[in-house]
Amino acid sequence: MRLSRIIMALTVGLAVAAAPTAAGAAQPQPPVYPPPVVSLTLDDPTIFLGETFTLRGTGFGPNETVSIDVAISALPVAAPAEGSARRSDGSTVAMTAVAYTPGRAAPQPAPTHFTVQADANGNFTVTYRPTRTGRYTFTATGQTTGRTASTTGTVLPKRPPHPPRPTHHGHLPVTGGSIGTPLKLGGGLAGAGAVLLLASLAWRRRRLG
Amino acid sequence: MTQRDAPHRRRRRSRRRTRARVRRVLLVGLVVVSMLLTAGGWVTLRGWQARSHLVNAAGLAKDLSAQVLDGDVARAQRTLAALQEQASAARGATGDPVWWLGQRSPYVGDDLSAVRQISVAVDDLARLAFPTLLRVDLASLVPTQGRLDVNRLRAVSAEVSRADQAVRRTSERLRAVPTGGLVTQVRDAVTALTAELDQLGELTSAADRGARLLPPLLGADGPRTFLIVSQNPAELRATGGMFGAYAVLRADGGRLRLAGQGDASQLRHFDPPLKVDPESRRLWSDLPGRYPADVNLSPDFPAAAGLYREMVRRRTGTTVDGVLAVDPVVLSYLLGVIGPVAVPDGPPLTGSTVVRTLLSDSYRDLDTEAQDTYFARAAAKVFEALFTKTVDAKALLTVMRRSIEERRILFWSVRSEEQRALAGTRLSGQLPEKDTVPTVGVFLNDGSGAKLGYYLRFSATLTVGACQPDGRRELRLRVTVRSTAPRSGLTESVTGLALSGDKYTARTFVSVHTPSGGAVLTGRLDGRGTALGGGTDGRRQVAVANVEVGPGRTRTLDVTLLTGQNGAGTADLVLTPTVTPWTTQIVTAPRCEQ
Repeated sequence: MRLSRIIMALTVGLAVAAAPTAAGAAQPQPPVYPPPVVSLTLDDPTIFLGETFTLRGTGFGPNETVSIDVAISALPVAAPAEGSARRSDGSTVAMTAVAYTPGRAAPQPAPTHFTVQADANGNFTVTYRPTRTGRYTFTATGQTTGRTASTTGTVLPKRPPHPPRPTHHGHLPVTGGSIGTPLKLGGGLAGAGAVLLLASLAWRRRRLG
Repeated sequence: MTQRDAPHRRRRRSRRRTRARVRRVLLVGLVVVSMLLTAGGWVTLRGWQARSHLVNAAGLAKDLSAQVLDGDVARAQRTLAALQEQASAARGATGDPVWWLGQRSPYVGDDLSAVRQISVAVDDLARLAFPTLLRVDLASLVPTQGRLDVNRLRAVSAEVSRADQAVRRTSERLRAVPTGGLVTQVRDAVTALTAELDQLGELTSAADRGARLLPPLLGADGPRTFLIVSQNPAELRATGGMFGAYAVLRADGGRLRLAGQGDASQLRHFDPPLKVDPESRRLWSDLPGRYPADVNLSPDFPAAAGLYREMVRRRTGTTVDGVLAVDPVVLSYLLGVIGPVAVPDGPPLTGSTVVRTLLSDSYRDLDTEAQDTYFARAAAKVFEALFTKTVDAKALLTVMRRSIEERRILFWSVRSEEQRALAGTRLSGQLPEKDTVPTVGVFLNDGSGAKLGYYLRFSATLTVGACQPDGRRELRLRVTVRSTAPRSGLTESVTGLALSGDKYTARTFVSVHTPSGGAVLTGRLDGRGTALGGGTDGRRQVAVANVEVGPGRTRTLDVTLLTGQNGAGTADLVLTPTVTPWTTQIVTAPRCEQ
């Protein structure tokens, strides 16, 4: 009886003593003050409609399931009319998400929410093919570690097929403007003189004739 | 005979009539042509006179500006009188009825009208703006014996405001002159004058804003309290450097006094963190709301100042009306004007050595506690000297202007009307809401937890590239980071947390903010693709690259950007001010044809 009481007291004591330590271990430590290396990146932060984003995550738990939310907003400056009106209802986002390991079955995500599984090092790569223009903010949340990271990409309207117009039309300097006024003035005066000369000649010929 | 003579007579009569008519037509023609020639000659003569008056006026304006800068008021007054005479003569020469008719004639009308506008603009400036600017006593804008005469400043404010309005009106009128069909000389004159007016306008609007804002800020309408924060560029942050030592400044009736000082480390950290703007949180998580050292990870100074104010309020109970940020380079400029300042228990501060003393030597020679004390004392002593010593007003204003231009002095007021007045100035520490030319921001944040920023050298080249069919334009940005850090011998207080994995390798996060409405296409580090973090800053897209550079090494970050729909052939860079100024180059191109 006494022994069991002692054991009980010891157990309670240990539990009380261990509780703050356990709580401390469970509580996430505040991060150090310098900003960390970003853990969610896009290979190219801007793509053109029809192209694919490659989203890479690092620093998640080994083999952790990571849920990814996609928030889509309009481009900051109104996109050209072409294509955007047709797609204004386009709430569906076709996904071609693939896991980092080749051959793994692609998750079938909801348009703006899907999950991926990190590899043994806590990394993942997933591709994402948007079907309308806009700003895409991806937020990844590790389902075990609770770690979150976000990144934003831009989807611009399709590039027109013809190449951009050249900006230079040769490199010759523009010349000749500076003598424009004197030339015009001189020409005008010479012209007026010629008219007067012809008029006086005609007049004299008439008078003589 | 009579019958034979009749047709002959008729013919002669008709010939005489024709001849008379021809003579009349010719005479009228001759009169008209002579009148036209006379008018043309008159306009040419008057134009020539106007031109020489304007050329004289331009020369005099240059003299005037030099004399004003030299403080030679008597000579400047004489120059101004001569300038007014010349400007008025030019206006007179282009103001007569013949010129007025000429302006309505085809072909040369637009040129004559542009010359008239130039003459009017120069005359308006000479009569309305220059005399005021000459009357304003620069000395009234700097404190003497720790006090600024706010009443004198108020009086000056009204005059400066009128001059500013005159400059702005003139500038707008000149801007309305269509330059498309003008002959080259006239067009060049209009363009040059517009550019000069823009410069003058910047000066007068800054003076106007300063003269209007300073009295209330200096406590003319009741006491005010401010935080002066020292940014430490040895540990880089987007607005310049980590907020280190701070001082509380009280202003009352134009008199300023130091009401306390402290250090960011005394503010500890905040858990739960303060509320951070969502765009900033997506890029930097809660760090800006958690650590006083991180409030300025984003380049928006008002947001950083607001967070820091709240942190100081929560820890010390002091509520301030605004935050003024400066850096050691500003101190070096100020010391150059006020002379060396002695600091107890430490080396004296001089203009040429202060940056090294504060950002390098003190970390080498002092322990952490002694560093804090020394920084706080140094700030207090410089401040005291600035407000008690008699300083050269002109030199002080010049270094202040330089500091503001380099974005080393930033100010935020808690009052929205004052904040609105600051909007768009370099003092406000914000990227412009709307770009007049495509503006690219390149901001730096240390990621190593070290004080290696003192050893880093930065350069940026921005090249305006191809026009895109959708009206955008490609920009190519190249940022290089070179480290002059030694390979050994730095103390723990410099190498700090060494998060890059090597004590002497600096990790810098380079944030590239696109022009408004623009996009980041690709990023490459030393020619290879690099992982870019991404976010937004209003209408700008943000990409963040991690650039780690070891001692003696240089790394090159290439970022391709798109502007918003803006075909401008030029662009602008806004950069984090660093210990050694950036080397920058902007390669422009012709405007895109629409």
